Amino acid sequence: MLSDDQVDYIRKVLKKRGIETIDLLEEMTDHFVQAIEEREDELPQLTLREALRQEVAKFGAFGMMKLQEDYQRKLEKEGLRILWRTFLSFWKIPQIMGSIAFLYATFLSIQFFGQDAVTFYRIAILAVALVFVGVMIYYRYRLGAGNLAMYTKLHSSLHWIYLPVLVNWGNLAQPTGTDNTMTFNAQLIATALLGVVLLFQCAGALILKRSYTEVERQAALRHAK
Amino acid sequence: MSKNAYNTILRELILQLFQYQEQWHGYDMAKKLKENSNGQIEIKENRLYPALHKLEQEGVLSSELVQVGNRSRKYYALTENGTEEADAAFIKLSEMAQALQLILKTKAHA
Repeated sequence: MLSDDQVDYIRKVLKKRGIETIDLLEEMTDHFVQAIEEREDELPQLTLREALRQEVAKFGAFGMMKLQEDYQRKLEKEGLRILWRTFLSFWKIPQIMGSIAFLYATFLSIQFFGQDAVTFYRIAILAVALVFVGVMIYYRYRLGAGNLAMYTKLHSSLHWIYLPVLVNWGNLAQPTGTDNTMTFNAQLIATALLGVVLLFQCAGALILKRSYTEVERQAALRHAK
Repeated sequence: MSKNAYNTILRELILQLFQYQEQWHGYDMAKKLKENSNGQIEIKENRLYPALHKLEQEGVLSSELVQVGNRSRKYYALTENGTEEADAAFIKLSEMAQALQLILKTKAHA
């Protein structure tokens, strides 16, 4: 049986050969350890370095890099699937009702408070977007199963933002009266701000998927230990 | 044999292995296939692992990492969809083997 140092040496060699993703690295390390242990039983005089060289050669000159590339592509596809599922998850009755309620409340408040409310909402939207990005970054770099649950809640609680973007919040939120009427630019800015939030949501979904994958792997490794 | 044909057969071969046991890891799969075919079928590692990852991506297989000694081992198991596919794979391979035998018999008689 190979020692911890020998197993670490194999990991290092595989990393140098281009295997970066944790679970692929673990899978390949296990493969090589088993193959080398078997070879050592057959040829006890064979050194670890030589046995590893022979096993790596079986993958071909760029085999490891190709394997990593394929795996990376697979992860990216999973990310896109999550993004699509996140988008679809909005189209559920509670989210749609929430969006309509939010939209109507916004519309009423703008009618009631006029230009002040428009300015307030612009600042609020920008603040939400910035806080959202901040939280995304925070949780991206401080991963943990507990943290992730809160992170997911935050992500799904912002679903209502999609609908106003889709129905052009700027136009619907137009206040009445000649003094308070939003200009074309104001509508454009309001819609653009919401568009920015939507983009953050999309980026968030991708980050969320990556975080999930990392947490799943870490949890699996912890569980295994 | 074309790459597509090879990948299709490889896929069927991987899936039919699950009739022997519920969980497999890559290294043992290659070994078992070699053993069962008296050394006639040797699957290259650079083909086996991408095929496993593809099956996992398609939801045919699921995986989990299990600590074994000083390293982690990735075990694959059939998902619910995978079970149906594995049954189909077994039938497909059996039919293919029968067809090949028939072709060879015909040739021997000719």
